Amino acid sequence: MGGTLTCVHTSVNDMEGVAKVSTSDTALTVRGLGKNFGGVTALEGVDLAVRRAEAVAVIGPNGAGKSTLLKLIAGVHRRDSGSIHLGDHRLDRLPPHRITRLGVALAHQVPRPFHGLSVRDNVRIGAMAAGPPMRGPEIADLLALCRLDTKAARSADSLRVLDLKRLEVARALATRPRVLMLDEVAAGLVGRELDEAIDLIRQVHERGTTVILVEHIERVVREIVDRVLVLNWGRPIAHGTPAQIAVDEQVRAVYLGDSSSPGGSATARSPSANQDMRSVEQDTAVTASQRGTDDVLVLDGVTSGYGDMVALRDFSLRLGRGQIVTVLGANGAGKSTLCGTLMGTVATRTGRITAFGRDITRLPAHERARLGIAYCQEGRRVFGDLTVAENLRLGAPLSLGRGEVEGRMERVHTVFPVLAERAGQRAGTMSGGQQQMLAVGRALMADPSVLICDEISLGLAPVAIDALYRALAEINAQGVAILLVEQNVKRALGICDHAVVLSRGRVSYQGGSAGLLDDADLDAAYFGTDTTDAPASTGASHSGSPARTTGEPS
Amino acid sequence: MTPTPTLRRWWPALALLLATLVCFALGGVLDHGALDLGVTLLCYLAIAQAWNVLAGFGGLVSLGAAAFVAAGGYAAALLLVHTGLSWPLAVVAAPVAAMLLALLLSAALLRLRGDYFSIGTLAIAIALQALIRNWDWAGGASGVSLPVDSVPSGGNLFQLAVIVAALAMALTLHARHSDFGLRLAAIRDNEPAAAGLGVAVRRHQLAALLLSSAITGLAGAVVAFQFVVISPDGVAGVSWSLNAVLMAVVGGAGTVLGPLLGVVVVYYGLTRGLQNEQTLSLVIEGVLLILIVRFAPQGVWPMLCRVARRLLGRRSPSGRPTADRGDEEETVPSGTEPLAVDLA
Repeated sequence: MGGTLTCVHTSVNDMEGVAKVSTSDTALTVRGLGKNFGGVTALEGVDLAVRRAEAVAVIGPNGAGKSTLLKLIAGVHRRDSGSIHLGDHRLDRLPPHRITRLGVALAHQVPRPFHGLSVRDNVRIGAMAAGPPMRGPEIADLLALCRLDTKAARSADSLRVLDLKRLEVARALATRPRVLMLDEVAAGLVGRELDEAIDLIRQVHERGTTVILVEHIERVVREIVDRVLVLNWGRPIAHGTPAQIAVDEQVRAVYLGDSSSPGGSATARSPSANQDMRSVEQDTAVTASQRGTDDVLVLDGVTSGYGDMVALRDFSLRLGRGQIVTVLGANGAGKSTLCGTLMGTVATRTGRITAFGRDITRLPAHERARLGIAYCQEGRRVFGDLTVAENLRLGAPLSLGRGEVEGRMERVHTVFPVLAERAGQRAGTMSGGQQQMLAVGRALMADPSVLICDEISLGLAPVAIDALYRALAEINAQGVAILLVEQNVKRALGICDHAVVLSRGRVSYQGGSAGLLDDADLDAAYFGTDTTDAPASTGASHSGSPARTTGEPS
Repeated sequence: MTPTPTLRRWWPALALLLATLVCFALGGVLDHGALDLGVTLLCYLAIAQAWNVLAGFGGLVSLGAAAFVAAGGYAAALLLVHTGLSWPLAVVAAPVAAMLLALLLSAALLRLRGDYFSIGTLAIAIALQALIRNWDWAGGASGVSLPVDSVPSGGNLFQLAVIVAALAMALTLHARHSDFGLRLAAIRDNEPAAAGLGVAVRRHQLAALLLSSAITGLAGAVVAFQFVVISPDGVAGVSWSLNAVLMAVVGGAGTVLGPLLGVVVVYYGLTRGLQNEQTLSLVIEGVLLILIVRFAPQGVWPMLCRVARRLLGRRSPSGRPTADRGDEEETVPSGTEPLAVDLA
């Protein structure tokens, strides 16, 4: 921070001043950049000057053009107007491999590993990009830096998402970039994983690498960067230090939403608000006494996994009619396995699953769906080439008459008005938040009694998460029980009646959300130790994690 | 890394050299029938390996090997028939002709991706066959006969085939162990990501296409010498393209030894073994392909390696696990927990 650029620019006119920095200490200069995809303007008139060894974040709502900006700089897409310079080199006419060799690397939002190659070979490809060939020890150092050293010989297709993201960053670093661009590399990370990611980026930055971040996680932006550029609908709307951006009215309105204000989330049920919500639910014909006896979904001592691995161990849960239960946990804790086990795509080894009083442990997936359990999968999974209306229609059972389908669509439209506005639009062209709404809406088309949502806030802008959680509350008020599998702890705790934390396949916390509001408690439940401990290096020291059960669900 | 990286690096090349010398020496020992069978097998090996480098390593799945067999075969044959040059010069002309054809077509072909590239190469092979059929100077549909005295035969032809096959094996070894091959594999696995890491995609693909067509063209010259009478149906037929794919895929595309196994299994085991029952041969080939795609999608050779490893009770650290094996590797012995390992 400091120097000529600390003054805040909040109007687009002022933005032009940003590019007029002397080129001597400027690593990367973007002037008047514009890009259209078909008739859609993805970027327009973007100026950005990044100084050497500076860290800059680009933030904005989903679909604002952040990834497009990075991809234009990296040469993945061709710009339609404007110019991009790296020092004296003009980048915007070069093919991507030349840009990489000049020292600009991009770690993509969606990892793109070379599946057939080992982790080490994946990194070696990047290391061949420029300069003298990287020696074995250097590659080993890099792998250790990205915590992939123990997996160097493994095939890339055996990695899980977290490691794939690490590999994406390791490969980008291997090209020895002068400018490193990171596109949402911290998405989906929690607790220590996030600390590690921030540490890694900071280390790289401190070595003198210029860093450009696209990130939704506020903490990453706040702790790493000097400057923030805010985009909305492809245009720059604000520019300044993280602190200045955090209080910018316009940015609050289009991006940050209400939730990041110190007062708490718009949809949050504070302990007292929680009581209010309960009474609302009782109005919708669900009484407290029914909750105990009228569970829609019961898991009793369920163990499941893949091959030799047990991913979920002795798991029990009750979801009452009209209740919201949230399942939290770090990456690899077994959350998605739980969803798979519930939906019948992962076989249950021991234990019993009951839905609406019926044993469904051995019932195949499609028959479970017919019982009224809808599953909104992680990663949205909308049919990108179909229209919004077609996507919704596919969510309804085949046997349903045309009129009924239309009726259900109208009900979905009342929850998500944007889906009505965009009924004829191709789903793939919508923003991430809208796609997630479509995914939830499609699940609702089955008219479920139970809705299972897997990581629906992942990679979404705070405003989009606000809207989604408001919709969830509305859906719940209509009597649908919701099992919310989340990484976004604050949001999920704000809405739920009951919380379960999974740690390495076991329940490490079960009870009200109040017991998790403290960061230390949360960390203990997530990782089994408190934050002050160094990350333990052996499994043995973790095996004695305290399983704290503060109370059975009422 | 093993304590003797140099030996580890060079033993495949040494083994290839030894095998080549042994085969070369066999050319003076074997009887006529064995030599003829040997030439056929070696030609198939060269063509299958050339396809393997292009498709197995480079991800460019060609259905047009026949075009380059024809280019090489006809270039050699027409030179012998029309100019009276000696056969070694004709042999040199064959890969040159095939590479020129590849260079000419690359401008169009390398713009095509995935299935479109496959269809493009298939179309070119068919078009070339039709072109030759209507080209009187090249003998038209009936083809040309080579002057029997001026082409190598017997032991000499076998030795020539050994050299061509050895070149193909050497090219495959290079693709497997060099940086060039690693980059090719990266392009195969994810082309935009490779470009994003500084790999010049088009240049590498062009190199793979040229090298592959050169080997295929060389094999074409040997095929022409073996056939003596060469015709559009014999040298430019679609069966060359299909056999190349079948042999490499059955054995294991993207491996060095897979196609070697594939050639023996497909040609010696099926085509030759079921020679007298044409229909049955086709049915069995089809069933075999289905079984392989179902149970050994990466080919027979990787499957055998896996079985061998399991029997020996050890896991190769550099082995390329299949999808289901990948899941196993993912597993953590119960007791240690996944997250703990992550943080370790």
